Amino acid sequence: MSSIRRWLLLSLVGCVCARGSAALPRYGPLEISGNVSAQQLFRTPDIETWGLIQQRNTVKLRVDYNLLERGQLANLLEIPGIERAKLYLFYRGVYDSVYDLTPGFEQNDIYGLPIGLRLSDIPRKQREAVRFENRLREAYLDLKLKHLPLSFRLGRQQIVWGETDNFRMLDRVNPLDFTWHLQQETWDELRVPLWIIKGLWDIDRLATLNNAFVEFYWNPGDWYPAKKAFLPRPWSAPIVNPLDDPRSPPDGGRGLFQILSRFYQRPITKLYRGTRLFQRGDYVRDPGDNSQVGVRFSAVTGAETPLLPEGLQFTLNYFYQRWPGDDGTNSASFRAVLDPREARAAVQRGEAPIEFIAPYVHAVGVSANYAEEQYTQTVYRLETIYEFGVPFLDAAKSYSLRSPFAILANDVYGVSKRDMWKGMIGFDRPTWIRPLNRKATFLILGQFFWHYLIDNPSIACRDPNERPPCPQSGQGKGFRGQFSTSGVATTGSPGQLAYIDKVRDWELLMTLTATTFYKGGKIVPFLVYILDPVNSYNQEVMFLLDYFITNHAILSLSQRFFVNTTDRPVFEAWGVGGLNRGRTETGVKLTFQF
Amino acid sequence: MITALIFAALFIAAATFADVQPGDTITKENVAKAGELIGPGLRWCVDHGMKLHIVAPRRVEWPRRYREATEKYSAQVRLSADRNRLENYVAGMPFPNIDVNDPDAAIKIMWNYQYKPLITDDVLMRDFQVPSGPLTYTAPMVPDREFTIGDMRRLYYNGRLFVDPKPEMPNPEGVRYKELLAPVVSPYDMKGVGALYFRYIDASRQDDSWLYVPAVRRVRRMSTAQRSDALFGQDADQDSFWGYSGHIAWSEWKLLGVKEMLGVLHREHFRPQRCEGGADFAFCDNWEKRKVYVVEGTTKLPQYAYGKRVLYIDAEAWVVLASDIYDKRGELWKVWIEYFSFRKQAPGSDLVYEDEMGFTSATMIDTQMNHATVIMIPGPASPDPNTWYFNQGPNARSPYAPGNVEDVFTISHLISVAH
Repeated sequence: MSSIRRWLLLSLVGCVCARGSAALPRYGPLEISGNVSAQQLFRTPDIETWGLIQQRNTVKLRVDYNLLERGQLANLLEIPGIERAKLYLFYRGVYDSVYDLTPGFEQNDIYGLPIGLRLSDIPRKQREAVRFENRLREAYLDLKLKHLPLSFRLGRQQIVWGETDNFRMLDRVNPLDFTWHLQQETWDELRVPLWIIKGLWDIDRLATLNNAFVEFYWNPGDWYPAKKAFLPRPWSAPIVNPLDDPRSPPDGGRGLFQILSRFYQRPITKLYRGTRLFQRGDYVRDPGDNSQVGVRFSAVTGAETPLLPEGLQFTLNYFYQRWPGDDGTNSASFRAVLDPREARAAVQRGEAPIEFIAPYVHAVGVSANYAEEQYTQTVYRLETIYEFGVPFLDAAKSYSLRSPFAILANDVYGVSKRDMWKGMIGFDRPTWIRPLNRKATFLILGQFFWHYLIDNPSIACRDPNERPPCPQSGQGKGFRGQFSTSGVATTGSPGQLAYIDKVRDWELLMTLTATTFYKGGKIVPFLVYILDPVNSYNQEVMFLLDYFITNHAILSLSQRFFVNTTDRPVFEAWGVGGLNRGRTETGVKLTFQF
Repeated sequence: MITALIFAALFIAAATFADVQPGDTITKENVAKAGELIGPGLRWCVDHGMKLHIVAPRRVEWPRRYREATEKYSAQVRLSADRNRLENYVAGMPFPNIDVNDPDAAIKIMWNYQYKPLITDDVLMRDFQVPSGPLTYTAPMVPDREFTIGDMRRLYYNGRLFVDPKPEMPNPEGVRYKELLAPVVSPYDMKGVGALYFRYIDASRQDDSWLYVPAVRRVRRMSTAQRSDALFGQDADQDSFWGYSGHIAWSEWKLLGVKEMLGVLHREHFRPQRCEGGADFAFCDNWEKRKVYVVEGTTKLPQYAYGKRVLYIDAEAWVVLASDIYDKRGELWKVWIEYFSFRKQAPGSDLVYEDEMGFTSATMIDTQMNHATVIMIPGPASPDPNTWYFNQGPNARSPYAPGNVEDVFTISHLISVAH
């Protein structure tokens, strides 16, 4: 059977299942709901090329069960100390047929060059591992204590704090799964739910404040760094694996493992101390070695609150957690093991002298929102955070050119830590644009983000007379981004950097979103525009449209354009038009909900 | 000129002699019989298939405590200079004696409506269904959206008569009431949505509103300007609930008249019965003649969806029977109709009130888009007879909250209940 026919058949099966399903009722304290969807994504890297890159069939099932009401289990058994208890389960099952169909298209890397790999080149075992997902994503128990204003949420869950939409600052409890498609999905789908104990102490009135509460969480070791993949996975970092290049020479074989294996004439297939890239650092996943904690205080100001306007809602936040590397910071995920003895021992063990790292970082933050009704009828949002000790690759900490590891001198560096200040100001405004819609307002949402790296050293080559990317003398000093690896940042000979991924003092980003309702909520369009003014004005434009065929059936159409304004690679770290160059996509999704 | 006078006389005569009797059924064929007993909005509905079954009017008694509070406190109540505030108000009806020649009659009627006898302390409506869909007028509506709402609660902070603390709760923020609509139970794409609203006594202070959005898993601040926006794109907006739920200070009010009109105060069917066929955008039930204040409110807010509303306020029950809502061009846009059932007990419920309470359902029709939203409390699928709780305070329990108590109307509770 041809791939196209198999794909059509699968889609048809999805539709038939959807038509045949009946809405599930509620059974007393039990609520069952969910949806079944089939999503097709077509990528058009240029005007003449298109390819199916996703045919994802998803089942979601949600169960809400009131275990305890008024302190009684099933209206019979009194449970001391607990007033209410509710169980929440959320299951997601996925089958993506592209990993079976492996439709023929070849992806380009960040340079716009074909990588010479197709989906079918992913080893069969790897494809089998990613085509299915069968996971109880969330499972938690909500408990409200009887005589205290204290409630708990215990179990596998997501926690979202802050004011930003789809960008990370205070929303940092759950890492993101970038292999799930950053642009196509809501972050609800991308966050990795973790086993967490969360508590909420409801204070309400406190001095001149009202609606005050303290929320805190402890993740007793169930933490992972952000999940990332490489080409030819369709929605991955736009490079082949810099450690283990799946291609053969002369185009391939540039992974650091291969370079080291060739140089030392022995197989080197692992990272230092068994760490795994984007999976695990040098720690044990237990409460002693991998706990994460956070606390926030939230309140609304009253008339007597000094300095602040009445009705301002704010939060004060503190986190102590491992660095997940998923907030658009061009930070380090790995470091060079610079101690010669340790590096040599690693090579003896078949390990590269490179370690994946996820260090602990302290972070304090503030968020606020305020509805200004008199002059602008607008909700203003603010979020800002100060992070202590974010890791960066530091070219000043590299292997000596005279050391046995000089071959890595232009590829991996040691790490220096710096503080960062990040923030967002945004607005939400319902606005009448009557020529476009006489019946409903457009909700217009704008966000402006900044990242500021404090005490960022200037960039220089080893030879002060040479200019970056330092093809002759090598990297001298200054911070480097993760694309500054010779196996990556080159279109020429291995070992020579053609480009340098600079870590900038300031990174800025702007987003503008507009949405409205037509036909009584039957048609819901979204328009999203994202501009990165720092990195060559790369942009992203999205148009999404949900059409409710019935209350149960939804047709969703999407079109995404990633605009790189130059013909050079743009090493932006936000994951917008630079990283996604050539990934213009058209999506069609059919959902049946019950 | 003479011809014009003759036509005018005939028109006045027709209007004067138009009348309905108990036992009549008003349909589009005999709608002229209703004359000025119905407003333009209701006439539009009848013209499109709605039927009004006329019954003899019955009194709606005020709750005893409300009556006593009115007798005790109303004499001391004054309007502030800007008319947007009441001075010396404690409880009961602020202005029980309306003089239609009083230049402040309209605003006093609105203040009476604000402090109406129907709910003085708190209310909970549970498990109600809200289908919304296009109208063909020939076949039943096929809903394109249908919401099931878990709870809609309101807790008043002043003018309280039934549940301690009375007559006012500790109220440093000057709250008139807090309202929680949460969670949306279905459909799945809206499941877990919840909203929290604070209304303040001080007219110069706009509402505070928050919406929990499960898709982003957090509470979003809302602008008051969104109160007149149709919720989730269907027809009904927050300010139209109960006929009018906006702040008095947001509009200029004008009394258009006092007259007899038709309204639903004593519904025959406790579970609302939609009209048959293409008229199922409305409930077909018992209508009775009522004395009604007709009040027009023209918005002062620049971002408000509507140009004006005409409210038909029952002079005895002080509830809005219907509201005609006009766009900025002055054309009829939407019609809100309330269908009350004043009674002491909901069928099957174990809760018996000492006074008659106004159980209601409502419909909102967009006459320009031919689209309607039907609000059924209780919903047809709701198995529980206890879907209404008037002035029950901590006893107004549901699976989503332990009662109409202060700590339920908080952002932290919204986060916990709407997920």
